[in-house]
Amino acid sequence: MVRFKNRYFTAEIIPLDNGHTVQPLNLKTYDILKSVLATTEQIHGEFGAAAIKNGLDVKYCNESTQIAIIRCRHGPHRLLASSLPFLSSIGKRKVQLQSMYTGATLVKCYKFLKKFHQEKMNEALKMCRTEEEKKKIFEIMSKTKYGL
Amino acid sequence: MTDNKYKMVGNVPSDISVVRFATVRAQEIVALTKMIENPQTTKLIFQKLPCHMRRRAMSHNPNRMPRLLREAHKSQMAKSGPALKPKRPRRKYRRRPSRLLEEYKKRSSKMSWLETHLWHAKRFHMTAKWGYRLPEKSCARGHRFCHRSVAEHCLLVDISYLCCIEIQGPQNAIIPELAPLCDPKTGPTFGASSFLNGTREGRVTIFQRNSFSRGPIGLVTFLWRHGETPDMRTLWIWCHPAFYEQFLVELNSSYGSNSDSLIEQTKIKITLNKGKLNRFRLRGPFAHSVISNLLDKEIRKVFIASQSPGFVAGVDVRDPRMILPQSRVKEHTSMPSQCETVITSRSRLWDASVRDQIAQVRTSFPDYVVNGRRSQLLVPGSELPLQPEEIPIPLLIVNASHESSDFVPGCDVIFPAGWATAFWLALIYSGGHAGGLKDVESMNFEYQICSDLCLEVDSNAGKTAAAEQKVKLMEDYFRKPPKTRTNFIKLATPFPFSIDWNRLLIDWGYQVEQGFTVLRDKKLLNTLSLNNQNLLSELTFSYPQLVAVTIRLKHGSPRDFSMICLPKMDDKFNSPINEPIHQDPGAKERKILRQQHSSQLKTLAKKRKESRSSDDKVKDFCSDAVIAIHKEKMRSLWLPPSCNLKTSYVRPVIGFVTKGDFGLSEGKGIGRGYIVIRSVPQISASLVLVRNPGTSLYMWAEIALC
Repeated sequence: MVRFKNRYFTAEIIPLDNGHTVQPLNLKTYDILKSVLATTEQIHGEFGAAAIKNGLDVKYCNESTQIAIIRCRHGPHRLLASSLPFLSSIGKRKVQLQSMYTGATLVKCYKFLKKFHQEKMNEALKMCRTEEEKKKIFEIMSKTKYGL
Repeated sequence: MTDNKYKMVGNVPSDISVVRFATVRAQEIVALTKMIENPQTTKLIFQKLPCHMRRRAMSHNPNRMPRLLREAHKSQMAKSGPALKPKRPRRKYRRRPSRLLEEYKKRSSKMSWLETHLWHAKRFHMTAKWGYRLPEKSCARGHRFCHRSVAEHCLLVDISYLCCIEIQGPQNAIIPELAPLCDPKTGPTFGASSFLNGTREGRVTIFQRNSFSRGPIGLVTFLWRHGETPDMRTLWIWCHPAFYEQFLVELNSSYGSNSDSLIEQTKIKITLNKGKLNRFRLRGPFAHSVISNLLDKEIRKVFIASQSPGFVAGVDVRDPRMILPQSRVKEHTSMPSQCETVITSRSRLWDASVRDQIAQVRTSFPDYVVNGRRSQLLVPGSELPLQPEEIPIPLLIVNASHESSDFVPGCDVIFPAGWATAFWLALIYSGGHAGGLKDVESMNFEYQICSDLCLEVDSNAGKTAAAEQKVKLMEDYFRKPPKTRTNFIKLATPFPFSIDWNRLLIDWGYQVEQGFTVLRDKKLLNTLSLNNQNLLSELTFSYPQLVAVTIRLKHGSPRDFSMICLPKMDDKFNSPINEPIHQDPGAKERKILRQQHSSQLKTLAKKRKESRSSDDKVKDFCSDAVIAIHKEKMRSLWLPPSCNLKTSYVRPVIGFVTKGDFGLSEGKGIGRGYIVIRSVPQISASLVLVRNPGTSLYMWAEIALC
């Protein structure tokens, strides 16, 4: 009865070539997977890629908030973690991964993400200038308290 | 829009408004909250329990879990498929006496059991008929043995399935209401003086109200209570369960009420005594001596005089469990030859309170107590002296009445409910031979007695029974392979499984929209049998009627559904006449149909295979419908077509035999059947031809109106 332990990396995907192109960032789990494997092979060689491949999965990928959660087995996860900063492109787009949190269970990652989003909403509130915008954001925030 | 400010915050892209940003984040938060609250666990419920609370039995018994987790555990268990069937307890446990009774109660809830069911079930083949489980034929005794029982000894049949209806009220109120139900031309009815004072049992055919031209409902027997004043009389009507419902409807409409059990109008009360009385029938020369073994010594001496046919005698007997002989009696007791005093017809059986009291005794004075006392007797097997708990049980002994030209002596015993097994064992040990439904049928065939137990051919009950028999015979026929089936088309048998009387009457020129009847008018039957042409008028032949006949053959015997045909003028007696083999136009058609059907099935199978491999589930090539249609078509091609019975065959058909066999009582082939009334004057010298189904030979036979 061996227990399979995993590590879930929550990372934010920052597109590098924006400002000029207004294309929507087409985040596909398959693309992220391929690029992660390629980068790990680049950094740690065939051994690294093979060590990670079993149990590698993109569990959560959100286009609009640009957040992805990548799963890996506990053990080889350090190889993956060390190669994530070197990831430069997903599919055709140039990106930069910024890992925020590493959790041992998916629920912990969700809890972190929830806190993260709430902080971001508070910052947005501080940032808006017009009254009506403020009112609108208050409205939206109150909705989340009661779960839409 | 200043990019710097946004860039300061960091991760907000420059071309998105704040509101949009906020809404998206809000949605995310809600989704995440949902996912956090309902984690998708793959653990089983009992793994969440701490180790010291887990039990081995909770794998199959959810009650071992704490209450809060029970529901979840049950739903998880249900997901892994249906639970195992509980193990059937071992045979010894199932047959424990305490459990046997509940097993029997469960079995008899769907189908009524007679009180003597257990005794019969061990010795007879049983059938389910009219809502009862009835013994059909004996496992050990054959047909000839049962015939010998009726002819020489005593046959004993349990007919407690007959339903009794009690009508109480003033005489002048009961009789006029029952009058429209019976036809006075068929014989004495309810109000006939010979039955009114209650010393004789009567039998009458009842019809639907005022419609004697349509078929009857059936034959019922009735008994008036002896020793009553005309303003309060009791009448018992015994009717067959097959038409019990129909009869009740007629009675209710006569007495003008809708309720079933009690009808209070003009002081007439109708009670249904369906399960409250038992009735046994004994037929045979020694029937009275078998009964006399039940009676006390004094009554035995006077019993001989009350043996006139149809007579009703009310006696009180001791509990039969006391006087049970130790072993079965094979010889019969001799009866005193002469006596004058007649037993009274008065009986306490008619009181419902007395019956209930006596039914109580059965449970308060059980069998094992009796057996215990008998085992302590000094001389084993002798009679027990009078016990303090005993009550004398009232019986009604109804002698057999004249039903036909043959008279078989016998009697019926009527007694209260609950005592059937006791009386049955006493009668069997005194020398009665038990019989079932088949023996009743054979009694009716040989001697034409017990007609109240058989259904009339023109009644609804009789037609239903004939239809059921037809289905059964057709199934048997079609179960055979085509090569071994008799080809009824070639052998010119119009009705091999059941007789279509309407077709016969139509071919003889009658209109049968309202149905047909059997002629029961006694006067008309007499004139017909005298065969005097002058007395018969055309009026008698205008209604579609059948006449009951008996045919007797010298060589050979008729079978069921044999055809009775008229010989031609110049046919010499005993000359051989044969029916030529008819053409079977269906043979070619059947062959072609068979080939077509098999090729059709093959194409359907091919299409199914293709659709399976091509993974295209558009059409379902199921061949069930095709097979069903083919089966129906083939069956209709095997059955003989409907044809004119007068002209299609070498000799015109005038009637059919409903029951035909070798008659053991007469020693020759007998057939009981019906012929069209119009053909009666055309029969000369009482000679007709009979042709069995599936044969081509016409046998010469004598015909007699019965």
